[in-house]
Parts: sequence; C-alpha cells; structure tokens
Amino acid sequence: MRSLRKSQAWAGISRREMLCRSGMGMAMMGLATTLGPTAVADDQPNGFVSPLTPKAPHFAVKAKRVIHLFMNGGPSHIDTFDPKPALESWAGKELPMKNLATERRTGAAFPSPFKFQKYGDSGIEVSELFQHTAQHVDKMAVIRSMHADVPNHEPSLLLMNCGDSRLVRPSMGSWLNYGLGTENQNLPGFVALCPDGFPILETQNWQSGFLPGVFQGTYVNTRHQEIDKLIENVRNSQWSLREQREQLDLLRQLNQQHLDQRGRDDALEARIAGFELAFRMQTEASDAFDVSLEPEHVRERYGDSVQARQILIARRLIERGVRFVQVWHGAGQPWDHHDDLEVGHRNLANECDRAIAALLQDLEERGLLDETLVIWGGEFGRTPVVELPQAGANAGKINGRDHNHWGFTTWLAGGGVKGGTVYGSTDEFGFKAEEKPVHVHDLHATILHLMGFDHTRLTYHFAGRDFRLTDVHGTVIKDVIA
Amino acid sequence: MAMLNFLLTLGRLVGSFLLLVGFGLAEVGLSQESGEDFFEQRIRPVLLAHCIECHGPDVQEGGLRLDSRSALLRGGEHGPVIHAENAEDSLLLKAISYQHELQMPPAGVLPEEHLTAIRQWALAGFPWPETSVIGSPMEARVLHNRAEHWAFQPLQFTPVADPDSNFNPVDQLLARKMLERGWSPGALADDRTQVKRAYFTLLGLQPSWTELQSYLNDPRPDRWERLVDDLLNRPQYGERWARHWLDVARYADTQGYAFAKDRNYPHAYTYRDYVIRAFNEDLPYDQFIRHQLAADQMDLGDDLSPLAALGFLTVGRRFIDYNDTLDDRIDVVTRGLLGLTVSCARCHDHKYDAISMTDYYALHGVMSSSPDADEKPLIGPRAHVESRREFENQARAMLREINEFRNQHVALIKQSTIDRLPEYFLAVYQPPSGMDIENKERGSLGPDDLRPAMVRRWKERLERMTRNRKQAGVWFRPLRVLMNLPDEDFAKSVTAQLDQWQALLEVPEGEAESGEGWDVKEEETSEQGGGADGTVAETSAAPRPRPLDRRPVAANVLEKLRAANLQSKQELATFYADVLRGVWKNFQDHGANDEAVLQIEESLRFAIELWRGDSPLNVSPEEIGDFLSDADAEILRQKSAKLDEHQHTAPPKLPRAMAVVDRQPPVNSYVFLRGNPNNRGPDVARRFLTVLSKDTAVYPETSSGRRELAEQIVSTDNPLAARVIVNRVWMHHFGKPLVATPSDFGVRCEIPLQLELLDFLADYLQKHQWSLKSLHRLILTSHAFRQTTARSAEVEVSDPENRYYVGMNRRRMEWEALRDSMLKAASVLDTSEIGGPAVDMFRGQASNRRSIYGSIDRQDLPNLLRSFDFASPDTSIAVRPQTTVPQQSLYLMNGTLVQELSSKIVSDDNWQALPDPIQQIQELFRRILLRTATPKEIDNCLQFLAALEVPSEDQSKEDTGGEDTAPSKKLLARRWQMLIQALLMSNEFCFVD
Repeated sequence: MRSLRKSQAWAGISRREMLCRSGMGMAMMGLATTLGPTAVADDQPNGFVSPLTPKAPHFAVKAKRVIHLFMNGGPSHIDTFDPKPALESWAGKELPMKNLATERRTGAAFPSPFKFQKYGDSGIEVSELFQHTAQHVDKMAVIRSMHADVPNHEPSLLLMNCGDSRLVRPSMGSWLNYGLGTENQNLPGFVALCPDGFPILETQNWQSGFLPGVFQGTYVNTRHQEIDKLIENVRNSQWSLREQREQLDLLRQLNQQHLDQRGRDDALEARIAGFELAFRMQTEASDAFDVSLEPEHVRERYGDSVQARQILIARRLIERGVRFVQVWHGAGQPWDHHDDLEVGHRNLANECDRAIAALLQDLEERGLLDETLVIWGGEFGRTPVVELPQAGANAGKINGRDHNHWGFTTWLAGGGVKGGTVYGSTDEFGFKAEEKPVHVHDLHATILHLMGFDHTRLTYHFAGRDFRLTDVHGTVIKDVIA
Repeated sequence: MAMLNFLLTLGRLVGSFLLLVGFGLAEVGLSQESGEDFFEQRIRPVLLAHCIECHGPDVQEGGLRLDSRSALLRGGEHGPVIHAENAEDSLLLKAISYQHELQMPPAGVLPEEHLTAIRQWALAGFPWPETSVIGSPMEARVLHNRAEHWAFQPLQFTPVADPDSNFNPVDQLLARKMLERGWSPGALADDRTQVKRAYFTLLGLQPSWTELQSYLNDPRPDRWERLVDDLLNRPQYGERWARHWLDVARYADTQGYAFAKDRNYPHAYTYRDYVIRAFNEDLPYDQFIRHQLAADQMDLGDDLSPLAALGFLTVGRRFIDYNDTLDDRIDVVTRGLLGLTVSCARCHDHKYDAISMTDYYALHGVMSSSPDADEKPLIGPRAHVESRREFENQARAMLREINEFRNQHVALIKQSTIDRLPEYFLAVYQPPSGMDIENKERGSLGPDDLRPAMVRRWKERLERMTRNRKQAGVWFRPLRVLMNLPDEDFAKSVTAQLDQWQALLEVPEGEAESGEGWDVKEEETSEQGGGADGTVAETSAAPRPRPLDRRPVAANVLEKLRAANLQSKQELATFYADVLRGVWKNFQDHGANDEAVLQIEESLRFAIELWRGDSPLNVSPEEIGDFLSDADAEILRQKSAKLDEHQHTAPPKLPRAMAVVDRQPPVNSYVFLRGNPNNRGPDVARRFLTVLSKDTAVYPETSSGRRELAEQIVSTDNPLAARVIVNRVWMHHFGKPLVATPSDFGVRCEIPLQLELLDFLADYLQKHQWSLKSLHRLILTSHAFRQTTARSAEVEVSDPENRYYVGMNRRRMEWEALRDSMLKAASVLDTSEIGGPAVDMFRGQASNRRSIYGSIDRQDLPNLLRSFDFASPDTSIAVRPQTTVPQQSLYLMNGTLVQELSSKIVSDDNWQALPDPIQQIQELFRRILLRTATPKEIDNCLQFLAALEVPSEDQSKEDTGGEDTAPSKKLLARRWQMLIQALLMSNEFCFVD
C-alpha cells in the first residue's frame, strides 16, 4: 500500500478501519445509481473510497435518511400541537403564575385563536393550522416537553442544529454524513433547502465545523426552478454532453497512462473516478430537482407553492439516497410572529400543511416511511402570553407571542418512531416543559439512536478532544422509539 | 534479624517475586533515612503518575487513597493494601503484579523497573517520610509529564558526520533508521520531477517550460542549490508559505455572523501581508512569534509594520460571548505555537495532559488584559506613520473646530428662534416684505434678520400639525383659521369664530364630523409618534382603541383663546408662542427627562417633542449654512477652506493593524467552575503553563503578560516551539509530518519514529537564528527530498505510511497551488503586486492574482473552497483534509475558471502559428505537463481533434459556425479548447510526484 492511501485517515477512519468497522466488502462500497445502490460500475476503481461512501452505524435500525422540516423563527406550540384550553379562562388577564423571562416583556394570557380537535386512532389533538398533517398523527411521536437554553434565535438555532449554542460545531446533518456516508454519490449527502435566501445565521446552520468540508450541507435556493441555479457547476455552458463524454474519454486515456506508469495509488484512482461521478451527477442531479417529472396526481397532492415544491424535492432527494435533507420554511425567521400571530401563523401553516401531509402519505405509499425519519419543529416555541409593545422590537399591536425556550413541541415520524405517541407535557398554560422534559441534547441523542448510533460513541477527535453532537449530555428517549 | 527471617521465606514466594532472589542484601536493607530517599526518588513519582488520579484527594476508587502511608494502612473496600509486617502479603504487591483479581493500574502492568522498585520498597517496610502527603493528581501529572513525556524533554542533539560534507544530516539520520530495517534510500527522481516538486513546495506554482529548461541546461554542479536559493528569494515563496501559516492562524477577512452589521475585517489583510513579508525577509521565527503576540510591547525601531502581526490574535471569529473569543485566542496561541490543547482545560482540567484549569485561566487573564485597540494603529515606516498621524490629528482638530462652530450656531439659532417665535409664527402666514420663503437659496442675511429657512420649517410643520387629529391639531388648528381672518376688526372676527366653535362643541359627539372652516381631510396620526403623550399601555394586554375626537376644538383651548382677548395677529402669534414656551420652560425646569414629561399637562405633552425632538427648532449641523448671517457664513467658509487646503497636503494613506493593547492595569481572571463565568472559582494570577515553567513566577503588574509569554514560548528552555514549527515545515515539504498531530504534542501524542531527526531540525533551526530559509535549504538539499516516489514492493508492504522515507510521497496540489499553477500555465497569473486588500475572487469575479489574496468570508465560505478542502477559518488547522468528491471535478469541468483559461491558451497567436497539429500538441504538453507527448498520446489527441462534429442545435450553446469562412475552423478551435481543458484537469497536472 502506498502512503497516500493514508490520506483517507483524515476522518479518523483509515480505509482498512472503515471496511472493518462497516463490515462491508468492496462490493458494497460502490455507487448508488438512480434509485438505490447497485454493484460497482465498470469504471469504478476498487481503490476508490469516498468519505461519503455508505457506512454501517453502530447497530441495525430501520431509519436510513432524515427530512428535517425546520419551521424557522419559532412556531407556537400552543397554536399547533400542544392544546392549552386552560388559557381561555385567563384570556386578557395575568396568569396566576409569574410570566417566565423570555426575550421581551410579555403581558396577559393569550389563548389560541385556533380550534383543536382529536385526530386518528390515537386521538392526539392538533389545531386547525395543521389539519392535513394531523391526518397522519398516528405516525407521529409528538414531544410536547422540549426545552432549550435561551430565548434568542441565534443560539437556539445553533443548539438545535449543532448541539452547542455558541461555539463552532458540526451540524447534525454533517455528523450523520460523517457517520453514515451517503447512498448516492451523484448527489450531495446533506442538502439544505430554503427559498429566497438564508435563514438567520445563514450557512452556520449546516456547517461542518471541524469535520471535513465535504460533510457540510449544500444550500439550494428552492425559489429557483432552473437546475443551473440550484446546483453549482452542474451544467457546462459550452460543451454538449456528448462532447464532454469524448473529452473525458481523452482525459481517461491521459490519466490511465499516468497511473500505469506509477502503479496503484488510491488518490490518483479516486480522482479519476471523481470525473466519472461528476459526469453522471450532471444528469442525476437535474432529475432529482425536477419536480415536473412527478406524475400530476402527486404534484396535486403536494399543492402548487414554493413550500410544496421544496417538500416534494426533499422526497425526491431522500428517495435517491441523500442522507439528510433540511427544509427551511424561508429566509430570515418567517415563523417569528411577535405581532399578528393569528394571521401570520395561518398563512405559513397554509403554505406547508398540505405538503407535509402529502409527504407523509407519499413516503408511506412508497414504503419509504420506515426508512425515513421526519422531524418537524423550530428552534423554540412561543409564549402563551401576549408580547407587550416595545419600540423597535415589534409593531406594538399586542397580538403576537414572544419566543419561548422553556417549553415547545417537536414531532418525529417514520424511521423507527413509535407513532401515535405524545411524550411529555408543558404546564397547564404551555409555558414550560413540566412532565418528562426533553432538552435539545436529548432530542439529538434520540435522533442519533434512531439512525443507529450510540450518541456517546459517534465521535471525532479534534484539537485533543473527542467531540460529539451531544457534547457531554443527552439521554435517549426510549418511549418514542417503536 | 527480621530481615534475615524474611529472606529465608523468599523461597516460598511465587511468580514475579522470584525476581527478588537476585537482589543483594545491601539493596534490600535500606536504612530509614535512605529508605525515605528511595521513596522520594523511586516511589513517589510512580504513585503520582499511575495511582493518585483514581486514589487520591479528588477521587477514591474503591474507597482507597494512596497518598499517605496511613491511607495505605487504612486501605479501602478490600482492607489494608500494605502489611508492614508481612510485606509480601500486601494487596498492593498482588494487584500491581496482576496476580490478583484486582489488576492495577488498569491501563496496563507497570514497567519492570517500577515493579522492582515497589518490591524493594515493600521489603524495606514501606518507608515513607513522616506526614508527607502526595499532592493533587494535577501536580502529579505535571511532575510526571515533565519527567517522562518525550515532547517536554530538551532537544537531544544527535551528532552527525561532518554536516558540511555532501552527506546531508537529514539523510544521515534517516539512513540510521533505514539501516535498522535493512533498507537504503530510494533513487533520485528525474530532474523534471525534482524541479516541479521544488517549485510546488517552495512557491506553490508549477514551473514554466522555460524555467524547467533553464535548469536542465545549467551545467554547473551546484545548480540544485542555486535553484533552491533562487526560489527562496522569489516573493512567491512568501505567498506560498504565508498561506500555510494562515491555516494555523485561522485567517479570514470577516468576523463571522454579525446581525445587521458590517461583518468585514477591512484591515485583516495587513496581517496576511505581514506574514508574507516575514517569510520573504526570513524574519527569525522567534521574532515572528514575538511580533504576533506582543509587537505593541516591543521597541520596533523605525518600522511599525510589525504591529500588523497582532492580527494573529484578532483575526479569529467573533462570538457573542466574549469569553468564547478569548478562548479562540488562547487556542490559536497554544495549539498554533506550542502544540498543546490548552482549550481543553476551559471547563475542567485537561483529560490527559498536565494542563489545569488554573493554567487556562492564567492565560485567560493575559488575553482579557489585551483588548482590541480602540483605534487601529497606522502601520508603516515610523516617520510616515508619524507624519500621517500628525496630519490626521490636525485634520481632526480642524474638523472638530468646524463641527463646534456648527453646533454652536445650531444652539444659537434655536435660542433666537425661541426668543422670536411670535415673529416666526406671524411670518409663516404673513411673510415680511422682501422675504421669499419658497426660495431655497440662502441669499444675503444680516445678523438680526429672520431666517427664511426657519420660517419655511415652521410653515411646513404647522401645516402638518393643523391637520393632526391628536392634541397637536386640537391646539393648533385655531392658529391657522384665525390667521386667515381679515386683519380688519380682527378681535371681532375672532370672537365670532370662537362662538361658532363653542356651538359645535355643544353638538353631541359623532355628529360634528366637520365644522365650518374645518378642512380635516387626511388623518395624520403619526405626528408625535406614540410616546409623547405617555398613553401607551404598560401592562394591559388587549389593544385599547381610542375613540377619535372628531370635534374641531377642545373646550380648554377655546377657553384659553377667549381669555387671551386677542386684538391682533401679532397677539395671536404671541399667544401660541407663549403656550409652547411655557411648556418648554416647565419641562426644562423639571429636569427635561422622562419624569418631567409627567409634569406637563397631558394635552400639551406633544409640545415637548417640538423642543427636544424632530422640531423646526433643531437644525442639523449639516444644514446650518442656511441659517448663518453673512459674516458667520464667511467664517465657516474660511474654516472649511482651511481644512480642504490641509487635505491637499495629506501624506499617503497608511494601512492599519488589527492590534491589541495592554489594559492598564491588567486584570487577573478567576477559574470559571465548569466553564461557567457565573460560577466563580479562585482567582488566578497571569502566568505561563505550569508544565513548561521552571518556577511559578507570575507576570508583572504592569503588563498583560503577552510579552513575557512570547519570551517563554521562544526560550530555548522550551523545546516545543522549535519542534512544532520544524514538524510543520517538514510536513509541507514531504506531504506528511514527522509527528502525526502537528498541533497536539500532548501525552496522547506518541513518540515519533524520527524523533532524532525532529530534534536535529529543531536544534538546527535554533542554531541558525531561527532562520526558516536555512531550514528549507537543509531539507531541500537532502537526498530524501529529491528521491523518487517509487518504492519497492517490500518497502511498501512493510512501511505503508512511509515513516522511513525510503521514497518521496506523491501529493495532490492544494486548491491554491492548483489554481495558481493553472493561471501560470495559461500565462495570465498576475504577480505584479505583493499584498494589498483582499480581492473578491471566489464567487464568479475574475481575478488573476494568486489565491492567497482572495477574500475569505468565514460566515459564508464559498462552496468552491469548501469542496476543495480549504482549511476551515473557524479554528486553527494543522492538516487540511484531503477528500475527493465530484464537486471538485464539476468545478473543473464546468466552472468558468478552466473554461476561460483553456480559451485563453487556444487564442494564443504564437501557438496558432505553429505549422502543424503535432507541433501544436507538443507545445501544449510542454506548456501544461512540462514534457513532450508520447506517440500514443499524440495519436489519441489527433483522434480526438479529428472527431469534429457539428453540435446539434439543442446541445450547442455557442455560435459555432461562422457565416462565411469554414465553420470547421471554429469547430476545430472548440476541439482544441476541450483538449487543453483535459490537460489542465489531468492527474499529471494536479499531482506532484
């Protein structure tokens, strides 16, 4: 073996270790083509081990991929998945409890303007905002006792995505790509979809931190529909595919002669393979993002909006083996309704409710639900009390809610999740996680568990320490696992 | 005699105890005194190093402590661990010999010498100095690490044969290790490979064909040494090696996330340029460190440029929590310069290394005593800095004078307007003759003239106010209506109007939508914002809509107007002026603060903002010119002219350094228990790391300690600084380091196979005044550097990681070297300037400058850089990852860079003029691959060129057919361009043998 082979050791996994650890033979290390892995392609040199090559987790599980529906800005749990009828009798009055400190000053109780009703066999109550999604409540584990550290967007986004509210740490999608690789080498393993720009904190939300850059999320602006704008350099502006094929054949001849003169070398072979992968990616990636290839009844089911399109793209991506797809509702912090919560929440839920329902139905019909972990939630929830006017902070309409990190809701579905479950609860007003509180670290531990990892053992040695997504925290919530 | 009895029982001892048989009586028979010496020298270090962490003051596994003799006698859950009378029966001995179910220490059986020592000690009756207790585990670790960890030991100098002989010491030392394996060095690589390699490691560029030829044709025997010197003297050397250092220094041109603020570091480039210059001028490495930590505390002589070096501390990411920013600085200093992971000790003592939280917070004190300079200092030659600074100071003084003049007149015009407010009100409705308030030119103004611009301001404001539905309108509508009454019989008309309003007031609310002479059309509700009337609900939850008072005038206003018994418009103006002036006086008398608001009658609170807020009275300093008398305007003009004149004498602008300064007085930090600043632990004096300090001296009260820290780091007492840098240098020449973790030389870092070589190089660096160029010369002139990458099958199998260097490592160019070499191959690389502000080149903007000048946004690192394994600018990076992903290929295949470069080459006239395709192919191979093409390659290329095809419409995206001349010529050019692109994308171009 040549020394360069050792260059694979950057991830702390040498080629040999990787094979031992994953228990996979060479045949498994090949590519996935259009819809799932196949045997090694002819032009696939045996020596090629991409950092994104599929790897086995610590233990066998159903879930293989993740779709994270990120309602950025902080959707109100008490208006969506955590009914709090007790607020009615205090409407417009101060709560008998002292308002917990949040980002801004808050006032009297503000009951949800939305109607809740029971859905499914489990009879879990969901508000009218997500009435379509609610049809699938029996697939969900609704965690009503989430809590985070502080009532501000930036640290809470970092905590939810990267497990630390301040420091530069890899995001969950990066960790999963590091641990599992990805099943389709023609597409990025971690895709962040967001229309019209970035969420707050921008690319930090899907950063790879100290992990190699290939594990970072690839951002796609789903406002666009043209493939060239969706993925960088995916098309050549000058050469036709046929010309490019001929060009790459010439390149292959050059490279082969160069390689023959030098004997085996993983790095040389990997780069040769890289061009072949790239060539195929050009068509593969175009297809993945082209929702017009879906039958009409499917497109109708999702609806006709940016949200519908990007959620459908998410399904097309995971179907093609992308490991982690994060779907952001929009640029900035759309769910952040300090004013006009009723109107605002209704609009945003209208934009995505049908598509989320369609996604869950679609996944189930295609037999992908078991393999796909769907996560829904924001970086925190909102207060059960009204936010008071404050110059420069809100429009002073006194009809919105402040951030609430003390208690909020996240739900999981598919991928080994115990459906029809409600886990934990907030206090009677929905202010604070009370029964069986679940910190974001616990959520991460649980997600990693669902993906087959002991969260204490998925580590990366850097700067003298073994880092992990959950740092020194995290308890797996067994009750939400099927 | 007990001893003799004891010896007689030896025969019964089992296992490892048999070893004792060989011991002489004298060795076993220790006196009390020598027994205690024996304990101190042989036993205490072992207990400290291997036992106390789990059986000491902090932790007592199994209820056992091993830090005093009485503790041993007392024992733990398993009872006493020593028997003074029956030593061989001691649990301690059984456990350490792994002969018992308890096997201690759990990490593995102790080295034989320690076992032997403990047995001797046992036989002597466990002598232990009275009252002596072993210290904390951290102290134990410090002693142990200092005594035993290889990286903390002084540099060992391995003598080599005459270093001036042709046998390079690097090769001598490598050869010794090879000899152990029966290997000998690899063959020399061919000249072309050697030259390409030297250009790559020293310049990060591929040589041109001409450069290669001039070497090959150089007949002198020392042409290699000359080449190395030549390359080291080129400015591209500094650019290349600066980029390596910037990886360590986590360099970026932005500070990271900054909500709604400018995230740029406009001066970061001065740090980058400092580093380039330091390498090019071969600044001694110890001085390089001093500058980066404490240039502001040094006598810099005539050149203040080294202040820019402080960017080392400040170019990192800025965090919301300042302690995270300080942590980043501690980390870059300790991992970057010392190879120690001190940041691990932020929340608890280091898990492995002898670095305590106290050490961490000692450095935390140093960093928090070194804030960023409020005004970033100018840099350059001292004389320039001084003249520029003097110029700026003078300019600032002049500007201040101008501003003071303006502000003074802002206050004067306000006061004079208040004093003459009735005149102004009157002038709004009846402008004095000769005054044209619509004319915005200032015209001529005497000192006592009413200011037309001020009349205009009041006119606009009063128009707005009289349409206001709130109190301002209620009060001021009558002013407009009454001013519009005829002058004749004014008093009578006023009374009539007042009566009419009075009547309206008596109409029930709601029916008086608009009254006579009332022309409220637009609701202007924003006149005074929401705050002035103090009505915003503080605690109520529900919105409280206020019914609009649609009646034309309020009773209180009517009453006051009536009482004023107005006889003329003059009196009307005075009435209103007095209403306002009354409020203002009252407000000021009560302190002019938010409390004072409450002293003003509610219906008149709007008037407060007319005094302190957005008011015609408050002219901005910029517009003061319109309000000055002719004499004052002239004074202002002269002052401005003087400043303009001064600006013409400006010395050239100078760049600024991202410097830090020493806080005076410096502050000590305290331990943040569990890393939480609210969890206060003991205070910690500023000082160096314990494990590297000979004494416990703390930094002086007058200094942050950066200067002292720098000296301790570069001191020859500290072997780490030199070991760490030579390891980095070696890595960049050989593709891999001698010590596998270049920024972590802690105890988890195993002793390197080539320790002698590492130490030799470190010692060499120190002995050559820390000259990195000397070190490069030594390394590049070694056989090891010049040998081929080919290794025998046997060596490859036995030494897969090439730790013996029986051959060179093949390397892939990093992104910067690849891009720069491509630009050079296309003859477009712009090397005309060294340094300068960062250039936007990674997001589609074209630039032909070297990659090091590209602007790095750490918050949004371009995908391009990320996919090419660029070093994350968020933390100090020692080794870049090397990945192969399709995004890299896609960039080369479809991105604009390679397309443009190949198009550039194809349009080269000289190349086009070559007589036949074969010569053209040869020229391309020479230019790009630095060699001629083989017949087979020529064949392949010709075939590729011959396969001309007219692209079908849907595929071709460019006009490929000319109108008149042969389209085949254009098609052929297209084919050539593809061929060139293939050469640029080839492995041969991208890899360095």
